[in-house]
Amino acid sequence: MLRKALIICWRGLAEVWHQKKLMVFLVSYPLLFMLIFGSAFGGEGSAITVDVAMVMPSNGSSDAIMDSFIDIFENMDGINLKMYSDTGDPRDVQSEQLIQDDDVVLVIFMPEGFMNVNSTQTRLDIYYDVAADQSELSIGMSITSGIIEEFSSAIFQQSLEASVYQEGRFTEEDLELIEILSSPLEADYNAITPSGERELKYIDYLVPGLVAMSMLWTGVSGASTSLVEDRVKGIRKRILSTPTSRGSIILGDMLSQLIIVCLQIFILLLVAKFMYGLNIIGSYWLTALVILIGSLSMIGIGILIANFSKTAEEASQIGLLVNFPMMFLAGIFFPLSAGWMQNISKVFPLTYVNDALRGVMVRGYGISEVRTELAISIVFALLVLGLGIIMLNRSEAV
Amino acid sequence: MKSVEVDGLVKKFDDLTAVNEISFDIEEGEIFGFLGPNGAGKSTTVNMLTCQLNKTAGNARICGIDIKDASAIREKIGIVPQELALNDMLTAKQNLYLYASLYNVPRDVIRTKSEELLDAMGLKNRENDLVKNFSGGMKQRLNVILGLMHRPEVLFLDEPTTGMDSQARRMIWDFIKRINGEGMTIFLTTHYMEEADYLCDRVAIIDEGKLQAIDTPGNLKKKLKDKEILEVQIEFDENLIEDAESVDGVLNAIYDKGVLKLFIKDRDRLLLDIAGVLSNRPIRSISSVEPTLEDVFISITGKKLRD
Repeated sequence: MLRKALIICWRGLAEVWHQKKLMVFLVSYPLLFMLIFGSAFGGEGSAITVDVAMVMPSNGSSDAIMDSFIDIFENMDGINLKMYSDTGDPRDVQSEQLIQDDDVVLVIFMPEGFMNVNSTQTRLDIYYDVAADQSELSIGMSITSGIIEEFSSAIFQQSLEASVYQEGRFTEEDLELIEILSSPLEADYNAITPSGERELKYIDYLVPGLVAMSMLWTGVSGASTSLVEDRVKGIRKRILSTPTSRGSIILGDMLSQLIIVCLQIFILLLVAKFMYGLNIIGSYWLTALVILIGSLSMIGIGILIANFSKTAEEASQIGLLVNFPMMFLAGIFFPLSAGWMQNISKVFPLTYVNDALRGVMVRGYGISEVRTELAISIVFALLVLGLGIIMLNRSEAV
Repeated sequence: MKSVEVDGLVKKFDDLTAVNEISFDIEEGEIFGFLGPNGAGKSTTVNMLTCQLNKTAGNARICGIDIKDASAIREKIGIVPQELALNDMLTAKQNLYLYASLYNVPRDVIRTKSEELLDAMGLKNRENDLVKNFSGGMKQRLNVILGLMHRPEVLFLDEPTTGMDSQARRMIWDFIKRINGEGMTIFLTTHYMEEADYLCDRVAIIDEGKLQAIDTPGNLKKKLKDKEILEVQIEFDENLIEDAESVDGVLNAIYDKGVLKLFIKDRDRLLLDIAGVLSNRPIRSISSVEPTLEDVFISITGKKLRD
């Protein structure tokens, strides 16, 4: 049965392979969407400013050296510095709160006794938002590390000049001291993965949305039209007249559709990665699983539509009727603001696939955090696939 | 050894009886023609025999296997459907590979067999072209050989030469004769009488779900010998058929392409009557003709096969 299914699958793929225009279309249209939406709403081109939080020690002590360090940040183009004082909570908890509530990308904790920087090594604790817009994050990081390096070497220069006036050779302890002196200021970078709700950037919305859109269009339309065409042209009947079970035919057709959808999504993700610096934060496997389940439920909808259509044209019309509301109301391109829209969106299976996908890709959710969405998607996929296959079996019953 | 045995086969769709207790046998190595007007029950019968439709009652066996055992039957038979069920976006070779592998033909056999069949059908030089770019005739030829890759014992051909020019038709005919010569039993439905006449060892005529006649083409024509056929060249008008059939002794009247065809019993006595009835119409000529298989068909069913 599996061998026959693979033959049927090969046939589906070979047919698409020979339709060069269709191939070009399949690859190019999600990319086109990415270009259009990405540049229309993504804010590319405008100067980027990065919100950076600076947390002062709770005892409020300050000194001239610290002030001059903070001054450099305040006067730096591209950095919007926000001042806070230490609440005493663990630093990662404080950072996560600042990242979520105040939308900062970097959190810098100023150590107590910063003025001793020229005699002992001082370490800065820095936390950054893994889920931040990648260009903002990289700009913020490079500016910050640049400032720290500059500042560090300036202090070293001063200390060195001071020690030159002292007589005698350096002892072993001196060498150690010099090493410390050469980098008086060090930063420790810590990644923060925000777990709670917060306002997402548009580009974060876009790529998972485009993935969902590929599933929707290629899955629903591809499956429905190819199945109807096989029926109308008598190819299904002819294949059934060979010693091939219905199960193999359905499995093979589903498999070829699934491969096409997944391949399209793979190309989309590759381009997003290399052109837009997409960073999938959650597990790749979980992302793939969500894509697989989502694609299967969309193909299931396609099979259902095929059962209700007499011609391929009819199938694509019904497909449009199903796809358009789903596309706009599942929150693929825009976060849904109105309450009634959010309620309607709960009807569409794509909403859950989309939420799960966004959770995993953007927020780095694990399987336990998207289990509700995943469970609903799996149940839906099983439901439509099961129903579609039963109807397909019955409609051509021997 | 009988290739096909049909015994009281019945198919009912709700209250319509499409096939009404038909029985016949086909000997191994025979070319058997299955004729009938549209809606006579031809396709329904073939669909039941090829396990594409469940029977209502009766029995049928192919190569000794009951048609209830669909998977065993499918290995034994080849089907060439009337509609060109081809994968347009695959090449000719890929189409052959697809169906052959679905019939579990081993790879090396597929290679040699497809070369041989493509060559026989004059498609060898186009084997790597997409079927989409084929002419209608080429598609029909490919359609025929798709059912042959697994060397079936019985081949069901459903109107394989519809719409073909005479040269292409001759090619298919020769091909059918050739594979039949290699021992394959052929079950042919057609509406071309010359095709049935040329190819078939025996023909069956089915009408209104019942088998009306079954014999060799020669014998069927011989049966018609005691009837005679008159061809009258005459203009058509509304009452022509009615008037002609009103003459006592005219069994049947058919008008086609400027010719009124009359099936009559006794020419000498009738000629005057006929002339009398048709007298107000200009008759160009009246001639007596040898019956063809088509005449047999018309006299049995009262219909032409297809307009």
